Amino acid sequence: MVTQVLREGSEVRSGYDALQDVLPLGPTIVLVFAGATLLGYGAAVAGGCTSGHGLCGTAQRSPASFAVTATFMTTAILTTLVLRFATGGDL
Amino acid sequence: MKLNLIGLLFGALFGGLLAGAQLHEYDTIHAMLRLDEPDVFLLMGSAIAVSAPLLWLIERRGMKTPFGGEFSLSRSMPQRHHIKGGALFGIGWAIAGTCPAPALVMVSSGALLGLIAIPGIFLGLHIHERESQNQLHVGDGEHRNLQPTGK
Repeated sequence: MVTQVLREGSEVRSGYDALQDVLPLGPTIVLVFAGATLLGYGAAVAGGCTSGHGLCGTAQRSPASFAVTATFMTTAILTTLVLRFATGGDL
Repeated sequence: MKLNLIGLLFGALFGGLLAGAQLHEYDTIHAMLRLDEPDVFLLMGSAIAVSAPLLWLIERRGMKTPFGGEFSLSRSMPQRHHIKGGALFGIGWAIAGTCPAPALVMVSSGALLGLIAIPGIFLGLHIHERESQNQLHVGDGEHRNLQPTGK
């Protein structure tokens, strides 16, 4: 029911339509929280995120930013590939 | 105060742009990382294509900024923590389908799971904070633990 409301309410959405098509709400929440924790930790360790290193750092030609951007693009694409395999290509 | 207002203006523009590009939707990020849609790559590329030459020009001319004094770009050499952090960030990005700025846009757009993502991000920041308590802290973000970078 909650899932239904999240998906069909006109104002209130989950923001995770594709993920919710393959997962119930509970696991979706766990996955989003775990992913976001990695995201925050990784950004703190690397000293920046998609905008910090990916946009601003590369625009000022900082070698560290090129390294960080190339690394997170690679692991993100590989992780997406793993997620696709894990869901049998549904995601 | 004036600086804060300018920050607010540009922050609002940035947030609006992220929302306009649908970057706060999991589906957009997922389609990008699945290499199905080139939009986000093009968006990032065009942003860099605009700012890089401008920054280069401003730096070369030694221009002063109106509010921040001397204009100086900070560059650093890649170190182990950049690779480690970047790798974990990428994994989190693919799983959560959002990164720090779009997560804030999610909440303001009414996408409720942004309320899950944001505490997650803060937990990650907190874990790193606890880990690095013994280390020397100088500044924040990219420029904490300043070490000679060969520049």
